[in-house]
Amino acid sequence: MSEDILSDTRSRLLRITNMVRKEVKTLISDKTAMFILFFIPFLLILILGTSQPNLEATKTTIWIIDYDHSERSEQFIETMKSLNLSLAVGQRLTPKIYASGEFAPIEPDLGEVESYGNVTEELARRTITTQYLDAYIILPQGFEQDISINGTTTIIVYYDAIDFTKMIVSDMIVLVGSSEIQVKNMLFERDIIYFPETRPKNYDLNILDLGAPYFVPLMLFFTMQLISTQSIVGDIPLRRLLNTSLKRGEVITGKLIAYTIIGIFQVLLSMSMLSIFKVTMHCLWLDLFLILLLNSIVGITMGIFISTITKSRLQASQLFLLLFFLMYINVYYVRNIFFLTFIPIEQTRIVYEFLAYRGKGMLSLWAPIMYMGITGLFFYLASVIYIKFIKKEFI
Amino acid sequence: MKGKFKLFSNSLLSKLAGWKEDHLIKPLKRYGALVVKEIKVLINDKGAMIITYVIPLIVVLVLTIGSSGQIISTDDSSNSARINELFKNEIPIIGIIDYDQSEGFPDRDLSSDFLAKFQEAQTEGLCTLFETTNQSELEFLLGDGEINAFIIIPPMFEFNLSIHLPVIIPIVIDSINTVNLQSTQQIVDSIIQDFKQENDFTGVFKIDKNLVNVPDKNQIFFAAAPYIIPLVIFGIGCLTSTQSIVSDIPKDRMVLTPTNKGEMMLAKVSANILIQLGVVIIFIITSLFVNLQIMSNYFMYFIVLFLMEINAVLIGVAISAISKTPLAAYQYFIFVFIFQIVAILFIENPMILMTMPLYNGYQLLLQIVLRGQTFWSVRVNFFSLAVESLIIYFIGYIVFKIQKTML
Repeated sequence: MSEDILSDTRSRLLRITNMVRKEVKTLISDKTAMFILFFIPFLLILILGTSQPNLEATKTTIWIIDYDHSERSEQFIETMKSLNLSLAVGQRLTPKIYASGEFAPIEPDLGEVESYGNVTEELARRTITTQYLDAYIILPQGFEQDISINGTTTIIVYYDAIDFTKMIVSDMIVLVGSSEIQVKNMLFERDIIYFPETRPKNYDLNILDLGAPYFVPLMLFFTMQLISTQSIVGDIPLRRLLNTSLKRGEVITGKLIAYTIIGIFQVLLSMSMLSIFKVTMHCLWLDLFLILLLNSIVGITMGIFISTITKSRLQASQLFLLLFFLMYINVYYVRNIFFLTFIPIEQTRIVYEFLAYRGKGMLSLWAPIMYMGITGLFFYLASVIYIKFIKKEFI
Repeated sequence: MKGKFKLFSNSLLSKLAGWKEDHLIKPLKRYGALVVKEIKVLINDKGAMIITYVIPLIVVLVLTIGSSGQIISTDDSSNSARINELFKNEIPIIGIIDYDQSEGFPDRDLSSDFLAKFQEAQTEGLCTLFETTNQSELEFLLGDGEINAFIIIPPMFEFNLSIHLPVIIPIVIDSINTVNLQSTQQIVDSIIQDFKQENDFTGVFKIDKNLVNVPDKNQIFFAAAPYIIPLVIFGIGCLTSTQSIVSDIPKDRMVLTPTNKGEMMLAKVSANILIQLGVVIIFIITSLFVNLQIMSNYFMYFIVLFLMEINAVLIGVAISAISKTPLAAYQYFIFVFIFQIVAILFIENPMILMTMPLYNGYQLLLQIVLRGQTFWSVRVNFFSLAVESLIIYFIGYIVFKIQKTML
């Protein structure tokens, strides 16, 4: 009896090994696949490692419309113009401030390369809807008088809320500017002032350091997922193979192992590139490798599941896109906690941050790792069940 | 004699007619037939068609019904309303210490009231509060990622405010968890602003904030639209088109017909554009349905989306033309798609950004549709989109022409 079980296990292992060997050979012989799989991480890490952060969203233009024309209002304008701010990640903010009477860039008319307009409230009202103005401040008549008599005055600020990031940056500039004016001019009134300090200071981090927890899992996950979406649906000889002693469940296992082998090399390449650019890793190299590999494996199981339930290559890749959009929207916009728990790129980001930046051990991060494991296992079992009992083409 | 006068001889006229038949009518007929064939091929894959049209629907539904859709409230009355809805699910853990023992207001303990404001926010589910008397503990927990921020109510808090002086509150936020950084900052800001308004601690400058261009409803969709709509249009359009040539096995038999490769490619582009037009129409209809606030008109909206779609299809067909296997075509697509998604977030160089359809699509949608600017103001993005589409298409055509398939 035990010999039968042993022999069955041995033949099963042999079949899976052969399947893995065949699959790896097929993958390696596809030169384009290999090139793309390894070129994407190489190129992206190279570009990000040598790039400056995208600060486009923080470049704001603010107009100040001064109806008071007093010494105080001029002080206000001068202080706003000389503000020296920095973001949490260390980059300097350089807002463009234009005051009444100055010429500021506005939307050009047809045929004009660029256009300038005299800063007025009327023009500000028209320009605030365009990309040329992010906020405007109105210093009302009696600005100076109110401060000297009442110790307080009202200023009106209009923000362009279409661009959310720029609105926050503009708001911060107004807040910091108005506080600085009070300090500089010794103007004090009941107020609760706070300038959030961020820790650790990220001044030394490069763009790769800042973006790695987000883009490395995303890149590895989706490349492996999309490649594996073609694994079953695009495997024409598979039907003939299933006429042999090969079991359907073994097909899934074989494909999973084969793609994981490729994934190992992809993760190794990515991590080597990260090391070359001296990206922060306050953890064991092996820990980070394992978590990124788990991320790729979950991507592969999802890809194989898509490949199992679809009938054409196009359907498979379309379904991949649907899943991709759902994950992307949830991670970057909706952030539904329940779904985030089972989105591997989000869990990998969390683990990556704790491992690489906080130097924590794998054991303390059992929860996100477990969620990733559950997600992977779910899709693996779903693929096995589907191919065994539901997929008509193979039954 | 009059009846015999002719500008062209009969033989020339018949030659012209023959030329017209050979070079205009027949190619057009072939082209028309090819387009119909391509559309039939695409429609035959019903599963793929359903997914193609379901994707934009689901995306809009998730961004509108799936979320409450409110990012910025125009109502300043309560702090919960002012919390950015985008971060409503990110409940930050905030540590707090009250060092204030001073007196100033006879009937109340101001620091306790300030603390109570945070406790109230905790009850409302906006944050989780960790109260302690040990600052070192907070520093340790912040470094360990156990809390997202800590706030110190300084000594003399109540006294300084009672004598009309400002107080500075030290706030430290964890910068590693960048997702929670924003939500933490938003929530802390909201609670403090609320406290300031309630007690009239507004300092020298009372700032009267007004938000322009903000819709009342579906703000998440409004904010996400310039990123997500180009992403979906490019993703579906390009991905579907990447299979048009490389997966077309019978195309090699076309060598037996007068069809040339140029006509074939053009037919595939046209068929894919017609099919993908459905995605554009779905976006327009759903935007109308959810009242997406646009500053231009729906015709302009359609034109912008249509341009993006043409760009996606041209790139997809070009990829298909240069790929040797369907898998290779997918891989080229992944490369183009993932490269753009990552690069658009991190790269600042305008020359690199301008080469990306997603970036150009983002600019066109944001500036023309949502802001109501003219095409002229974003001409650089428009020309970049047009020129890159044509260049990539012609490169694809040249490669396809010199390929040995169809000989």
